[in-house]
Amino acid sequence: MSLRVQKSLYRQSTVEATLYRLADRFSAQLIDEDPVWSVEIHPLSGGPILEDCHHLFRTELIDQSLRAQIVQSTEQIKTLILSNAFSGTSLVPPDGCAGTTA
Amino acid sequence: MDAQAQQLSRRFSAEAGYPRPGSYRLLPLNFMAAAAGDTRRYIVSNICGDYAVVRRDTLEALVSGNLSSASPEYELLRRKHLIFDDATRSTLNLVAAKYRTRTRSVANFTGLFLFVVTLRCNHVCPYCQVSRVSEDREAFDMTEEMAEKALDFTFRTPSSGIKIEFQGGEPMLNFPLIQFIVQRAKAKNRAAGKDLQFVAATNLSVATDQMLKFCAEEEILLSTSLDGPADLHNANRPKRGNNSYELTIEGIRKARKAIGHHRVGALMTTTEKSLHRVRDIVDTYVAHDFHQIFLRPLSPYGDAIRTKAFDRYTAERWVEFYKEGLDYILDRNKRGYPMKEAYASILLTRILTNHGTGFVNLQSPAGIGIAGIVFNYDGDVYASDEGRMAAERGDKTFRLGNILSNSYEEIMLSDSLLEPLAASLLESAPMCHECAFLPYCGADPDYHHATQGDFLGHKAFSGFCAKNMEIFRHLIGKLEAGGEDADILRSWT
Repeated sequence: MSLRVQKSLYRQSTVEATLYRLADRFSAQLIDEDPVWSVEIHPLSGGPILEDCHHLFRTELIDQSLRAQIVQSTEQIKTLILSNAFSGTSLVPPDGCAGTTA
Repeated sequence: MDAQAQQLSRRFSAEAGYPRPGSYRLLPLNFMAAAAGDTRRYIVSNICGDYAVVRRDTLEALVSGNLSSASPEYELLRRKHLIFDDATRSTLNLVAAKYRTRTRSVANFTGLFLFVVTLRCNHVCPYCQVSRVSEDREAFDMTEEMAEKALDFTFRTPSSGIKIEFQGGEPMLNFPLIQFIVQRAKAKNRAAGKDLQFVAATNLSVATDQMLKFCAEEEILLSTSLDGPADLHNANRPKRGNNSYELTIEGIRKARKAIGHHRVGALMTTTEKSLHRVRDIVDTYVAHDFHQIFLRPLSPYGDAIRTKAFDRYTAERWVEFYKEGLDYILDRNKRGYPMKEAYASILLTRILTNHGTGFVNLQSPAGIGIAGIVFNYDGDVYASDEGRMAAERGDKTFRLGNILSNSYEEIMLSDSLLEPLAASLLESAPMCHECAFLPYCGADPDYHHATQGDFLGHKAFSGFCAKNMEIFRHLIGKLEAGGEDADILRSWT
């Protein structure tokens, strides 16, 4: 049985990050069946049963979605903080360009 | 206004008087379940390691911008620099300053230099992480020429502090070279003006009074191996005569008398035989008046691989051992004996402060080469002690060059160093970059190369990740629970 994930709700990178994190629990195949992602899950020997794998996937998918939202909403602030953190150090030349000319 | 509206207006303020949901901004943050598999409570941390533990519904409200500023969690998250609002815009500067402080070890560059003055040893420990050879094979000693070149290399570091650690084999078996290195390093340092320290990792069994006198005069710290009570120690560290424990204890006594009680430290290694003996091990340290113990797992290097000692227990079993040990140490503290667990102390310092710990295996970029570097007995230079251990089993991945034939620039800019550094950076690694423990953790390319054949490693299969994640959770859980345990743990930073 495949799980179906709405492409309008979850990006491919979010689904892939979910599968990557759970790779020690099950293997999976991700198939594009527009407008959904179809996820075929195969439990590993000695690992959780299929139903538990599905539960793990659904839970992790929501977490990964939250993480994607955080990255999106904090990307600019992160750049600002890192620029501030390393301003005035020899890592950032006075003209602000990346890299050194030494 | 009708009567009902008038009544309501007395009960509620105008809409403008209430904080608007979404009037705050998130700072860059990560989250993880507070306990593995638990979806009720989450640890949320920012890029400089400030953290809070919140409920799932709080996390969802936080991310979606719907957390009310009237909620108790709002003030917690603002205070922990996980969000900011119009009243706290200076938070950005503060977080930047803290981040710069946490990462300053990268700019400090190499501070630890390991000199493997000999590979000879008088012990035959099955878990030894280097191949050992008999005591009479001079071919396994570093020469003065190599040592001189290695010192020239050492003093090229921009670091204001230099720690020279003598390693083996048993380094005291080549004591004349230790004397040579100490004298030459001090001579060089008269011009360099660095904070210069020495430490020797020795089993103390061959340390004579003359050697200890020299260590006292030259302020060389001594670090020895003590694996627990006599039967366990002797089983872990076999030697002819089966008296390693007795020699170690006598060596500790003599060394303390010669160089000072607190200048002698001890380390233990956890073997399969140790797993049920953690209380005995802690008691042994207490009995010999040590106030610090480092509960260390076996590493997947050198002879620990050949003898399959590394595979004899899982990461989960070691964590169980560690937690029992930590609880027992806390209990000993509560009963009036001050004692730290060294790994917890390192992790708590990273969790609760902005100070770097200098612990080579918990750095990103990895500490290999740029925090510590190894000069082997044959002049080969390795990015890490683990790298030279792997080389003794034929894997020279982390060999950077040879001190006799390669320059400082050739060694420090070698692909053998730059490739694993670039490949293992946590901030861009799958799973790591989104982990709440990222500010406290480190890349360990040696470990992942040894266990997965890859510098980065898939963290879902990583014993290093499993052990550290569980210990981070355990320590934060204890801090959050409060009480005497939390007070003791906070005192270890």
